[in-house]
Amino acid sequence: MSQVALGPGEDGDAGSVAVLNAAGTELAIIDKAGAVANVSGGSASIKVMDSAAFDTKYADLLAGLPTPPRTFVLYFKENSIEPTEESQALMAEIFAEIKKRAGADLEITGHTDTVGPEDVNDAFSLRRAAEVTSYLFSQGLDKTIVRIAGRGERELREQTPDDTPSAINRRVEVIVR
Amino acid sequence: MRVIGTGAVLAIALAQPAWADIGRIKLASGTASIERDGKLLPLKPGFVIETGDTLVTGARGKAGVTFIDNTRLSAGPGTRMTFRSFDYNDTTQKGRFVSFLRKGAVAIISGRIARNDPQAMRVETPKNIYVIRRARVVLNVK
Repeated sequence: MSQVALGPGEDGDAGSVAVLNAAGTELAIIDKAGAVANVSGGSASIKVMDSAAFDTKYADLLAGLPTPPRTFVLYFKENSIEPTEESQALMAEIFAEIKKRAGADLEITGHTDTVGPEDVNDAFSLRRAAEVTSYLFSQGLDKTIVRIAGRGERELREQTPDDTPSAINRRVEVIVR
Repeated sequence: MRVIGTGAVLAIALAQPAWADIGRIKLASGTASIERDGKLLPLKPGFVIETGDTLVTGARGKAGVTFIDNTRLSAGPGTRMTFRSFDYNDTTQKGRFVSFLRKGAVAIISGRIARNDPQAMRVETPKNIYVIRRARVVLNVK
């Protein structure tokens, strides 16, 4: 016997959950905030409570969720791995955020604009991330809490055609979890 | 384009060991442990979760985890949950996350794995399977 309850989503969209039996056959899909499915093997019975009741009913469990990750965005000079001056100033705030969080870890992810081939941008975005990481290490960042990634031109902040320079897209995101 | 600096190469090399992580404990209270290779390891914030680990909480235990794809999980008292498989590509942000909730209760806010593939995040229970598609859910197994 198991149960799933779907809450209002963080961005307002409830999303959905599919309920399958042990063999993988779909029994039901719940997609309304406040929906509850009581499930036992081959059958699922669904009721929908008031969506506000979700947060009350599961208050203790929800209170145990970790703080959402916080993202800091650092920008770079064109064709360069050198951060802008404003971005260099943001580094101190990153350290302050790490201190606030018990058991913090970091993801440092580089992004490029659409200038140049995709594989070159993958490598270049990783370099930018590594440069920021090496700077943060030199400032005393704990080396055991960091992941580095390069996203190339997959996640544009500003949608542009190919081969378009964009200062907004040339960035490194430092995500503090 | 500048040639990559030695500092940056060093940064990549040094950050490698952390890549075995799939997540970290952010909160733990009461009796809360990870069962790994037959041993019970006590939890505190910063504890590194690995694939295959089983999260175990006692009658008054609680634990909170943030995974590397930003999935967040809160386990209530009397829970036993195994993180069976976790594949994740940092560049594409796609992967697959399968866990097994043997008993107890968890709240989950899905992360990038569920967002980027609606079939990729599954929580199995003794009799059923739940596929979580970008959602904030509570699961209970009695």
